[in-house]
Amino acid sequence: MSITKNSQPADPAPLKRFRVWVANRQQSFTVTSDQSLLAAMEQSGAQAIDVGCRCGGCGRCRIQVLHGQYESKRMSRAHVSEHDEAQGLVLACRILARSDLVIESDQFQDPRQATVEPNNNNEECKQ
Amino acid sequence: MRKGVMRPGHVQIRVLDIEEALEHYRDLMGLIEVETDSQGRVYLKGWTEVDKFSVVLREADAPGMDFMAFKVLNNQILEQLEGELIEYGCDVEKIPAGELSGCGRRIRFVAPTGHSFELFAEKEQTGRYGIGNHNPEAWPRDLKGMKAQRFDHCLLYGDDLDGTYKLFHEVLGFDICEQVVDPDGNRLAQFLSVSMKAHDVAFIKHPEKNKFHHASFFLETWEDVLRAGDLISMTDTSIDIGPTRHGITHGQTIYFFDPSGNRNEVFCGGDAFYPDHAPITWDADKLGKAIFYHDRQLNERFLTALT
Ligand SMILES: [Fe+2]
Repeated sequence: MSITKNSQPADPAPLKRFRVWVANRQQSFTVTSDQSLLAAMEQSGAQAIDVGCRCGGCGRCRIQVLHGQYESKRMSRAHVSEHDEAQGLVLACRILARSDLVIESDQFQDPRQATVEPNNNNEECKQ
Repeated sequence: MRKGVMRPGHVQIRVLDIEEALEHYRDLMGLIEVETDSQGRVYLKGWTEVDKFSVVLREADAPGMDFMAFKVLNNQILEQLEGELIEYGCDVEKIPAGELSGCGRRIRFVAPTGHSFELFAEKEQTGRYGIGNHNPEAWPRDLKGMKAQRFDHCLLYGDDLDGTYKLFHEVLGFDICEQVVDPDGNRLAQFLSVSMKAHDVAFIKHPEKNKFHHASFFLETWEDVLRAGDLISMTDTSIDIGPTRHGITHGQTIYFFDPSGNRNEVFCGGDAFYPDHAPITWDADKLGKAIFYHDRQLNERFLTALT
């Protein structure tokens, strides 16, 4: 797996088409080399990845890339740590396929389902 | 009881790419670009606003809201409220004049929902853009995009709604204009006003602290909201929902995202609020209609796409 950080497609090469297989939802769609995975999924009409802000901010479209190559644009560090990014945990709205891909969607960590840590932030106004 | 807090003064928003953000806020939304400071933060304003700026964009590795500020009547009130915040139990941070270019001294505190708020009394007044104060024309002729008139309010997500309401009501003089209440009497949403507007800041209950739902900008007419929708499609900007109407406030609205995933709203209308008005209450099972009056249900995104 190769990851290029914060880079646009390098050369104005002719568009390539790749196949994306979403393993956990048993669905696939086609993506061209100039569009994000999420944009391609929405365009295809598939419902294989949850759609949020589409701009790398909210984390709703977090996926695990299992196989294949891609480039990525800047994503919110609140949802994708450097470690996540190195492991292929990325936001579908910010990656561009460079080969056929196998991914797993539904990697968004929904705070409503998580146990919330008791907050010890003593900056807050307290009476 | 009103305490001398006048209106939302500014919001500082984190973006992943300052150039892309500027194209969005300036060229699409039609805010006026004011200046870039020595830290690289970009200042903008709506054309009807008299103060120098109301939106500050800061490039960072995670989008969201740094802080929202309210302008108070004068320095005496600022001092008074500073004392009352400290007495209430807030850690008040003093930020010197000029830290934001053209803004007087600010005081900052963290509300129980985890959001940072500021108060300030003075900001350079550059006047309404393009028309000024003397025999003004109806509007400037060189506005771009949606021609957003002013920064109006923020909707924020956080856990301790009661604590934040108590602070905003008792110390800062905000009133609840509208609320959503569950069968056990817990408030799930609160729309707070310090003016005649239906809201100056609003909160929705959410397990995490300090989440940003949207910053909202005022347009004059429903036709303008529709035209904003056209511009969103023309520019292939990420849409959330709308044009539609809110049940709460009755405003007509469209939600969309900036290039870093921060949600924006442009809207028109909205009820008038006076301090003697009783709160308007929505039952939790009507939340869908309260938020999106036509769809009558929330999209998942409304509850989970936050920065
Ligand atoms: Fe709003």
